[in-house]
Amino acid sequence: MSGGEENLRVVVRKDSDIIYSKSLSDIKSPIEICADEEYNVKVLLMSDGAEIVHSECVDRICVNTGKITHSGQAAVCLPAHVSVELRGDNSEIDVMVG
Amino acid sequence: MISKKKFNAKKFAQISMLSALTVVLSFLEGMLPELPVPGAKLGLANLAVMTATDLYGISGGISTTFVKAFFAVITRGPVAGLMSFSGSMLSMLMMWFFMNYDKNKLGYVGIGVIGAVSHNMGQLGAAFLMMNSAVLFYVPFLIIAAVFTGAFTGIVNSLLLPIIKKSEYR
Repeated sequence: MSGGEENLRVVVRKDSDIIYSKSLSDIKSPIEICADEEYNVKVLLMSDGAEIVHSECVDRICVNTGKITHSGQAAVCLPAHVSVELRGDNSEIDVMVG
Repeated sequence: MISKKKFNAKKFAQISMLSALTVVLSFLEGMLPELPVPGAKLGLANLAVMTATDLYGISGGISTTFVKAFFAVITRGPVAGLMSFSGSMLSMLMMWFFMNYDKNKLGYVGIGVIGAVSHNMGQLGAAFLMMNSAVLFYVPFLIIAAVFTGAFTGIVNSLLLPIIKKSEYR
């Protein structure tokens, strides 16, 4: 694992608008937010990562992606137009592929 | 008015049946357990699209692709329909191109892999336009998954198509 992982930031986007952005180190206890009302997309933000825990879409690709914990990872719910990404402010890695 | 092209009832019937087969295979695939890669699918319906493209060229490919996408719209919504259409259309065009380019060299497995990879790339392209760069995270997973699922559909068709082509009903 490369350095710079301590400055992870979680970015939740609905369409192209950022609806939530917070540094993981500022998350002391898990927060659950509703990113989309129509599909009831629930995003759980934790101090060590983020996860789409609930969605009423058909494909459930977002929920099946599981918890993301590294810079460059993302969970996307296409029908709801919601994306959850982890970005490292000074990460040396562009995209994690494993 | 006399049409220049002769109406080919057999071609019409067989493309219709292959289009119906995409619906059945899509439905069957929906009942299978999900693959470990999020968003990846076996691509059973692509068997019928590949067969139609192989037997009847681009007209067979376009017909089956439209029926498959229409079924996705009515059963799983407009987003799934768009994903089906963008993936299938690119996949079909690529398979059609490489079938005419050099089928003997690539073989059915090669065509299947090209079809599966371009299917996923078409979908991701549409998803990227619809959403944002976050979808690109799925690219490496879906390419690797497509190599395996494409090889699977290619192997199935390498067994089925020679039989279909030899059949007296052709």
